[in-house]
Amino acid sequence: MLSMTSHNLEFGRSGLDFVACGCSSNASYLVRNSSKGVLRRVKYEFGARKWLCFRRDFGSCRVVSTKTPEAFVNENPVLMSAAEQIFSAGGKRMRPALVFLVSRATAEFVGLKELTKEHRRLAEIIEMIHTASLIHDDVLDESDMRRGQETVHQLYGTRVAVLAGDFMFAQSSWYLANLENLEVIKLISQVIKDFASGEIKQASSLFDCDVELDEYLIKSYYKTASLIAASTKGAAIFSGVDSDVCEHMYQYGKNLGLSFQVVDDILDFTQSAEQLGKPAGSDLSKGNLTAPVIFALEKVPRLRDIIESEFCETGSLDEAIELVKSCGGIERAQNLAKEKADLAIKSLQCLPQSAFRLALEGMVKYNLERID
Amino acid sequence: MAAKLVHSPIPVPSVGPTTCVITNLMRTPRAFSTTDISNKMNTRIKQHPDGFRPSSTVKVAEQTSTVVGDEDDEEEAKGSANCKTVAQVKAELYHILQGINRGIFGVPMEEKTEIEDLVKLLESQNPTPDPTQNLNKVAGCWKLLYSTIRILGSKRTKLGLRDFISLADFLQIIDVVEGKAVNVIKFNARGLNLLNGKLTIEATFKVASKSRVDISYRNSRITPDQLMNLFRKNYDTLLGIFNPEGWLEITYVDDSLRIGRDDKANIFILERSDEDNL
Repeated sequence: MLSMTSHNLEFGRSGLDFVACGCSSNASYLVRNSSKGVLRRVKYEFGARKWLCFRRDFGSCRVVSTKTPEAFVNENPVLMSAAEQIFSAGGKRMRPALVFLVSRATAEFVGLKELTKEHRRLAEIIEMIHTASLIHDDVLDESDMRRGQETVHQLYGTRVAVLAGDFMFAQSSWYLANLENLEVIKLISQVIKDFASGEIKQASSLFDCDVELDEYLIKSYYKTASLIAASTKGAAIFSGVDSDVCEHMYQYGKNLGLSFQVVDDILDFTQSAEQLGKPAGSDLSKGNLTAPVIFALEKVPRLRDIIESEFCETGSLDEAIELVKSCGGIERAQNLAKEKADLAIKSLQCLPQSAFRLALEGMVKYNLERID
Repeated sequence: MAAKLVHSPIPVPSVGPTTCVITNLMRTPRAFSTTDISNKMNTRIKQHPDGFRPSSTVKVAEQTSTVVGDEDDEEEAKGSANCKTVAQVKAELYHILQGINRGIFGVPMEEKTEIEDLVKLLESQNPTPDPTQNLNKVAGCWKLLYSTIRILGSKRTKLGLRDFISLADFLQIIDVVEGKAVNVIKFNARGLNLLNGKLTIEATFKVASKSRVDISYRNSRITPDQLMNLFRKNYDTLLGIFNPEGWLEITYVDDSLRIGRDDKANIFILERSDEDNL
């Protein structure tokens, strides 16, 4: 459940700006591809609040919606304001965007003209699951801030945060079941299981300097890539395309997710505290050893000693960060991110050329730009 | 000679009865001229500019700078440290040891050195230099205040000692009649009282010299079963950390405090405890 939006300050400012969402019926969305000079408008309405996302250089997708999730409206006023809190706090809405882009890109195959109800519902479900995991994540990490605002548990307490997260997981499961597509149900249910596996895996290998790159990638898959892969594959399934295209979309989502996580982990080292919204090297200080550190440990034995001492000496965390930076750990991690990004783009080759396929490629490239 | 020292005009910061200084000075092989002690000390200091930090317990008094009117704060502080009574050193030690959880999860180098220096000071004033001939001084129940044993990094994670299980008291019960020593490490599992329990390690000891005992591990167990299930996979790791096998040098013991050093260069500081709940 590691937040992919933890560095949203950077990501958001530089171009991808999503504004609050709501979940309801009657949706349509807008995609404009400025690089092609083609404007294709499809309106997406999500209840009563506007979704806006602007993609800086090569496209913008505009999702318009109006209402706060119905699910919350009638249940409990406290839960409702907690939900509003997190939904209105921004965030990139990257996952719903991927669902829509993949839906559109694969729709070309089967001559699908409009997004289906299922596509829209899938996007809502994915975003609810993602949000629920963020709320719980913040409780576990005892974080105060998320997306530039106070976290749900900071404002409403741990109980409300746990309940709100549980409610969203439960509600999304209910919507999921009502989609009545067994393959998608299994796909998404697997993700919720993977979230837990990822957290447990991480907790049981804190400060373990023998951790291997493969284990790190598996953990990153569970925590981040699993949901994205399920989003993209699910969208392809609802488009009704061939199973190998669905598989390619899965691989696209998985590699994009892994690339994204690696970039996130790099930024934890390279960005300053102001940019991150929290002290730099927070992963490392908690004993969560990410790609740059794993690479650095291969070169610098001293780093192992510092980590195993759990940074009890003052200045040892800064020393460790310096060691990671100076021995090329960051560069190797950047290569890893690029490697996964290339795999993601390769998986798109089965799709017909279109503005949407370009936008999907753009997502991959945009992610890499964060570390250039 | 003693009187001259006590009435020396050089300011000596907050000193109680300066018995420690005087007795130690008397023990030194070098004789100091009473008339010109200041100058002599000055010369000595100049000859050993870096010789202040006591590197061994016996030499502490020789290099003391308490009677010197040096302006250097550091030297004065060191000097005054040597001028403290055992009670003061103990008080300082207890103070530092507060809140560091026996040092088991790491102690910054600075504090570690401070503790070790205080330990050396105490060891130089050991009222029981032959503890194995006075085993009644050592018998009974003791509670660990500090040791140099550390459980950090992946070991700590694997043993679940990060969030899930916390370490409560470490007790040691010494039976001098049977020649037995029992170490008890208590565990608390947060919110799950079912898992509160302890690791009990039984060992026997034999006198090896007037201050040293050889310790042989006999057996160990974890109670209750639910706690044992938790540690089953990592039992060997746990035992590896707490196994007392080897020798132990008892370097300081009085009515309430005991200090020991083992064959793995560990230091143990224990205080007498009323608890006797096995």
